[in-house]
Amino acid sequence: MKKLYNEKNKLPLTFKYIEIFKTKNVSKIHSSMVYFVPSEKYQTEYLVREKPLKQLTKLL
Amino acid sequence: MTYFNLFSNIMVTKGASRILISDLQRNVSELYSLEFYEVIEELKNKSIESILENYDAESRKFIYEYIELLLEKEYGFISEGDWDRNFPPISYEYHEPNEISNIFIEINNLSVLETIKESVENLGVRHLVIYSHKKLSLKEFQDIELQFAGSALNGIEIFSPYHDDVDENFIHCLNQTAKRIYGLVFYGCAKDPIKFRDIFRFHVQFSSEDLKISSCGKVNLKYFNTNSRKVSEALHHNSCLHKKIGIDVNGNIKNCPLMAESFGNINNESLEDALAKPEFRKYWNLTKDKVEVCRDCEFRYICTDCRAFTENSHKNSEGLDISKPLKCGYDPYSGKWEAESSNPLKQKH
Repeated sequence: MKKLYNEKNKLPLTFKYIEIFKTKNVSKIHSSMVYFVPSEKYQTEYLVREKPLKQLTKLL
Repeated sequence: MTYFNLFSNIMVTKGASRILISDLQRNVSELYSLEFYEVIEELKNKSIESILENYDAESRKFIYEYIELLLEKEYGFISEGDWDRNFPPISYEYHEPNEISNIFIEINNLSVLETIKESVENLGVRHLVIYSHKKLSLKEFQDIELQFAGSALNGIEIFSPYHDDVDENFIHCLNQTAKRIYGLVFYGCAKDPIKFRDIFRFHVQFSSEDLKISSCGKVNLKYFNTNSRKVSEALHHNSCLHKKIGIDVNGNIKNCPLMAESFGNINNESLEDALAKPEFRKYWNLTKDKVEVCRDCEFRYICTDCRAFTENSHKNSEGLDISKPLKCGYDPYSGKWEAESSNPLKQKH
């Protein structure tokens, strides 16, 4: 942006230019459901079944 | 004097022609013009009053408008006397405890899964993505689940060709037994056999396309992820290949099944052996800041890179391919997306 000292010109404002996009919370299948799986390695019945936080492939 | 404080969870990424403001708690990104960036930067170093002094009366109202926008979007808050020092910046350090976070494997039959099972445990692999050339029966889906029952895996995603047995009953039966599967894609399906209802333990998708594994590497808005883990990884590592192992249909162990270089074959070498080769990790720290064109893109930290299909135009001093991903139609200099088909090279894949 240009700084205008004592000038009466309008700033070349592109204020109206806004684009919004939302990304889904990819780690959840349903908004309120959490699934567990048993895991021997971690010695638990409650290992959280997760989707990755990013797409591991981009085929579609 | 009043001061504007940007919230710590707000990340501003400057591109060549626009900026991207990412809210890492709400998982939303928004695009703004470059001049907004300058206002935000000035607000970090000067009081609101001293910034306003530099502008004439006519221009001041626009500065007010910008500040109002920042407040309205809840990107920050105003404090009196000084910046509020009680909110230090968020650390973008990235730590992943598992040696390997994901494996992308192309298969013709399920026997290879038995071969990698032990390594999956040893390496603490979190996610397994299977692309199958073979039509998988219900039993085979269940066998995949059984193979990894009790394992360290957090989730499995499967791409399989569609076949006539796949109907509502098939999906319901799978839903009863599947534990780790979080996503199913049936490709080559002319018409969706069932209306997807949000009732299963996993996502089911039917694609009319005859998806080849080489369809991978697409870059577009739907593959962007605004979340702090993803962004932190992208700031320090390659957003696709970091901690990934790829295995192609012939059993070759690679960074990605679609890349050329092989680090051994699964039939005579373990994944741990392949991983021990220093060359295997050479792309792991190649961030978007080092990739041509991407380094000037405002989406660089929310985008997932692709090193398998690139424009193949630039190499760095270590011989790494630092060219822009081939299947990205975005030009950060003009801020425009091109239709993918307009580049003849991209039609090959």
